[in-house]
Amino acid sequence: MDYILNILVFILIYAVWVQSLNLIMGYVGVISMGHAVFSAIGAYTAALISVHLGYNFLVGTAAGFLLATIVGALLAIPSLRVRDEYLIVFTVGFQMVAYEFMLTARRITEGQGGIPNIPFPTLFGFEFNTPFKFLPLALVTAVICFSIVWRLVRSPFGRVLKAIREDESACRALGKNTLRFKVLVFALGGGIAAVAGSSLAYFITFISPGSFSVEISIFIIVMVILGGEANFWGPLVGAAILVGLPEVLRFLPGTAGIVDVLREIFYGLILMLMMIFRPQGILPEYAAQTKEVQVPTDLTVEGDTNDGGKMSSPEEKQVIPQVLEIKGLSKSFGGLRAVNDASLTLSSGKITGLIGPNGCGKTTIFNLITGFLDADGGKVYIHGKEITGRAPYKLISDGLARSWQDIRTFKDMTVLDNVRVARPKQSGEKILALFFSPWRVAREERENYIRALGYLKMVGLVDKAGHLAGSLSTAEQKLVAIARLMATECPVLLLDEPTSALDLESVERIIKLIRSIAQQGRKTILLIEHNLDVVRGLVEEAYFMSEGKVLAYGEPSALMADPKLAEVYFGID
Amino acid sequence: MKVLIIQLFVNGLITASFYALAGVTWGVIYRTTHIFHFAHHLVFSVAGYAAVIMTAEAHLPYFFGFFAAVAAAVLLGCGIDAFLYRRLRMAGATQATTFLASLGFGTAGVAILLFAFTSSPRRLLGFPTKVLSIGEAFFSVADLTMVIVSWAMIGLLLLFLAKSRYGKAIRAVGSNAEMARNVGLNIDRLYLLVFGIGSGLFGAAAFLFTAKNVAYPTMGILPFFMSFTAVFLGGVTSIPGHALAGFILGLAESLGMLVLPGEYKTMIAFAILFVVIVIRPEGLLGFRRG
Repeated sequence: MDYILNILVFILIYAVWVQSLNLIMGYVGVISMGHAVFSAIGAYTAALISVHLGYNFLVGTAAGFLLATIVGALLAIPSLRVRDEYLIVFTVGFQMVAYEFMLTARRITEGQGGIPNIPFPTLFGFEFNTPFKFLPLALVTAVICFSIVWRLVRSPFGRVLKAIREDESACRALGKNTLRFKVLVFALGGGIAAVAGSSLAYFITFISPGSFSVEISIFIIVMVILGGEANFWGPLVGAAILVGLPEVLRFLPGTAGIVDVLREIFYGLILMLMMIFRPQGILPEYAAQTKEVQVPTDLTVEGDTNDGGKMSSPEEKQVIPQVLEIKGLSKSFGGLRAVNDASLTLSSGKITGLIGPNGCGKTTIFNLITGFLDADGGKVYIHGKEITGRAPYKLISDGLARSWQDIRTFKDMTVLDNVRVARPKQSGEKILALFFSPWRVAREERENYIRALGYLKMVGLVDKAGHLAGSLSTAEQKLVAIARLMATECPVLLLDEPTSALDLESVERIIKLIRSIAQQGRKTILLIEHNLDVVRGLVEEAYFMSEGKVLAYGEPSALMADPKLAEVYFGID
Repeated sequence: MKVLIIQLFVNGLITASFYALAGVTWGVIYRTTHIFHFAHHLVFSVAGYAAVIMTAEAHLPYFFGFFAAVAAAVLLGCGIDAFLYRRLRMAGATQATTFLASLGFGTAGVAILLFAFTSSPRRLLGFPTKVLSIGEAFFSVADLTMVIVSWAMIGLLLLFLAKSRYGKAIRAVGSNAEMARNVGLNIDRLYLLVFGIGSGLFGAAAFLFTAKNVAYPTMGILPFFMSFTAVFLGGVTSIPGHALAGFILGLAESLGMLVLPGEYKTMIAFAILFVVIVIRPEGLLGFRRG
């Protein structure tokens, strides 16, 4: 009986451990190869505090949690500057260095031999000294940790995490400080892993580096994958199967001495085969391709009223006609001058075109304005305020939002969530508010829900609100992207080829939509477009670019009538 | 003290040459395919055991061991690409998915080696064990061969990439796979070629490593760790950068022993990588893609 209870306790401890990695790997999509180290921090901190200082297990657990959150946050900071595959490198390094530390820093960790005789946890004189008594403690710990993760992932915070996983740049362009989210998740994931580690220490009353090696980190990854990434119950399934498996192996004849080796072979093969045949795991993130979305019958269409006004700063009321001003912007890539002393001005409430042949620097200008590239020279002003070189995520609060030529919807999220995640100023994106002002978060969420559906009604996709964005056609995804842009409530929109690669009917639909956004929604729009019919249909005036320079400004038809420009545009030599 | 410094410096040059070679072996694969080929460490171990079997089990002269190591490495490396990565590519797998599959393959592979050969180290037989010296610094024939072979291979690889038709195609694929496909390059064949080259060179390094030390199932982990650290330290886009970074890591590891105990190898490498990447994310010789 004790044997079974023993296994159950292990499954619960591992489930917490795996859930903490699921938060990082499943929801944010960042692979951590050093997750065992966080548990090691928890385990060693707990052991040292309880063995040397004789403090209660709650103190040891809390101290381990705190230390691991700090380490987790520090580890995430390089991700400010480097892409995700570098995090694999950093976390492998972190794992190897920490393991060496555990082996060699004998004065703290007692080296290879580990720390024995950790006291069992006690609470009000009750000692949790058998698997039977420990089980309720492990269960309570698991329930607390799972509840925290549950709250996080099913909130505006969790939505942003998924958006980061799907497309970090697009998420930044929606005003989310993705570094902050990554740091928080690494901190919290590390902290929860530390809780699992200290539970382990208090349960087996002995810890050694072997429990936190790179093999263990990989083992935890395998459990996440097997259970199903970004599925809340996946970690429990993964832990139950893989903690249970070696116990079953033990009963097979002739396997006594080689269980550990066989287990390693199995883990490796499981990981590889899952990636080939079922990368989504046993429990996939979404059970069905569509989720049920209740649409209220009295839904109003968003975008008819001027949302932009709400975002405006006081000084904007003086009405500066030049909403967006770009002066002398320049950018070179190596020897290529992609943008060369370009200046343009957007007037309030108008659609201004930006046209020119392929590779003339139009998208580069967008990237310079929105902070995705650093300009070599020149300045950008919005409502008279300089925003040159501001980080992309700060521009939403300045009232500037952009779309992408390659659409960049968050494919493994529902259409509704694609729009909801773009809502600005969400208290539900702050961890403290999630746990301490749940009513405020709930109230905002009700509003978000209605408004997001309203934006979807505006683009005509309300009946697809529950579908995964990736399952929609290109045309529909472009509409989702527009609804998402509208949901930011920004008065100035930069649209990068909103009609490219579409059939005529869809082009018509999007032209109408953009026109109504500009007129009824009183948005100021800068439009990059190749399709001259679209330009003529939407734009009063346009800038003409070639080879990084702004060559002309005027009515589109006048620009195209100019033989010199037509020659540049159509490439007639 | 002076003698110690000279000896550490010589050791450093030997390790540095080994890491430089290790760096370019993974670098040429990563730069070209962008696959985070974690199973590279298994290629090293398998090559080491191939050399041991040839010399210690089949009692053949050591150069048969060398060929066996290189052949086993090429076969395994190409096999992984042809049967695992290609399949994942066709299914449209992400970089993370491919990495995890590679991680799984490497983990299972090392466990199989452990199953077949146990964890007790195995020795390669027949390689000259004479100790040479310059002044007061001592080194083995294996050490000297390591230095010469490493730099010769790095030189040949760079020459091949710069001058030959295939080398140019490989560079083109690495810079822009889509464009390369459009001008009619056969991506799958070129990937197979770089896996062959990278694995073969790593296999040669594994032979020399085994001649100098011993073979054991996880022998590939540390060289692999140094190889990808060198790649990111040197800058993903620059193969000479990988060699330079490997060289720096090896020298730093050896000279680091003047101040730190020998167990802190990975700590030194990791600290260097961390500092450089935070200051200069594109690496020492890399450039940022626009």
